[in-house]
Amino acid sequence: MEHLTFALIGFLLVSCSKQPTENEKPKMAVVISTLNNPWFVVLAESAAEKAREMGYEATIFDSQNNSAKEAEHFENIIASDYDAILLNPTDADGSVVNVEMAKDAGIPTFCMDREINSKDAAVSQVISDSFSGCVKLGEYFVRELNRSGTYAELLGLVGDNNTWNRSMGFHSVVDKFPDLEMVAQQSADFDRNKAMEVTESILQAHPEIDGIFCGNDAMAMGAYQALVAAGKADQVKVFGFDGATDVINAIVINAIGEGNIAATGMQFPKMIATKVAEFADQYLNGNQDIDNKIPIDVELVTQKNVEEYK
Amino acid sequence: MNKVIKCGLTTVVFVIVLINSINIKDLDKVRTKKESGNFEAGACAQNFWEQQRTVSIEEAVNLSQLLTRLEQSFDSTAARGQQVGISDYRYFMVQGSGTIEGISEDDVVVVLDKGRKIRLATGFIFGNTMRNAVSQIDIGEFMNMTQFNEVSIQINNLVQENIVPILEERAETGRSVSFAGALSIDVETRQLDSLRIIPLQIDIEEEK
Repeated sequence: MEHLTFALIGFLLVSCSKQPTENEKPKMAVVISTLNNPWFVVLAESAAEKAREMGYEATIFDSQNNSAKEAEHFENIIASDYDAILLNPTDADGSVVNVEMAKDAGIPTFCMDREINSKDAAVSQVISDSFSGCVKLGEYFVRELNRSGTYAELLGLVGDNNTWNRSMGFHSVVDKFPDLEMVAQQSADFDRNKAMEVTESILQAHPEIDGIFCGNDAMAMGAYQALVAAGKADQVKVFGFDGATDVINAIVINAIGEGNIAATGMQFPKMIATKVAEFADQYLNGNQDIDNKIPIDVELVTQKNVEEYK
Repeated sequence: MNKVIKCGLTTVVFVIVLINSINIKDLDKVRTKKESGNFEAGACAQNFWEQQRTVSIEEAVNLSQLLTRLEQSFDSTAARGQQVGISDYRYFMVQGSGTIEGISEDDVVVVLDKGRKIRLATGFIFGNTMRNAVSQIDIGEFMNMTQFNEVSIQINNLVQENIVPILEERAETGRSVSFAGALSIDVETRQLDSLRIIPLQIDIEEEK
């Protein structure tokens, strides 16, 4: 009877343990902060596509901008024995514990687009150089407004480092010009509908503003919609960040004098996703020499060069 | 009576739930916390200014020679510049001399030998050109990009406070100027005819 019990336990252990077969592919998890924004959909699908191209099974997890949801995903990913995690974090501080949990379980994490506040939890972090991109936008903003006027700023998610790097880059320029006055600064969570509501209330309090700087293009489109509804689309210049197709189209329309989205910062989600998937593959194949922090250039798109980005 | 107690209790519970479900934060405080933590960008920039600036100036390459090499062999010469991440820009610390040809709101135009013109920045000193040209400041030493970028802002402030006034006070058309500073080269456009240098050291000849 005792032998039978041991045999049964042994059988269960063998059948439950991970025994990759010749046909079983290694697995990468793509964990995305939200799929409720086309930019992140491109990021997620590009990462998954590249992983599949390199022979991995890839699954996309939507954190819905919720750190608790992201934690649930990590628990499931660890339990399911994934080989690597390609992460677009929900929160620079809040996501660190998830990445460390995966690290402790032997699963390496590679951050894309957004960073976490840790030097060593993730193997590598490939991120848009939001600060430099917004320095360029800030310089263009100053010149477009002729160094004077009033403006509002729409911030993204307050827990995301990108929000503050963008704001900091913009203000590192604009704050040096004392005749440019910020009359309102509010968060619209990177969300188009919230941006429209926030802009509507800003316009009620400050109907004569000259510009609106938005931390992403979804908010720029929301702000622009509010301006159109208020009949002020030709009066207030809107500046976005991302390089989303609808904003690029709006800049093209602006170039022929029928709108007022002045500029955006072009990010490259496909490049970021592809690089991160490649780094994960290299790491899993034994390359330990991968840079921990890799910023990627953001390019300024205005009426002058928008044709290059259509 | 029971109804009154029920209503009262319901109201108390509702108020407690409401208070605990709302978390109001001052954006400025969140921003300050995000930006600084325990990190002092000003001290880091000051350390560079006092301890490493001289080394950076001594190691600066001759600008005229650099431009000649870039014209002859762009790719191999540009590859010797500093690069941060995946970028079209390469950064150099350069030094040179020339004659002041003109002064605008944000620049001093200098003619080098062979008639090449460059601009020394007096305004619009922003971004990471100086930080990235200086090889001593390593991205790996910083917790996040916010800290790394704060150092740029502080170094730019030091340039604005300590170097730009020299240019603004003493630059006059026709005077000779020696300089050291940071230069960025765009390897995509390969443009070499409108280069702008963020100055780190300036020496302008005395009035004759």
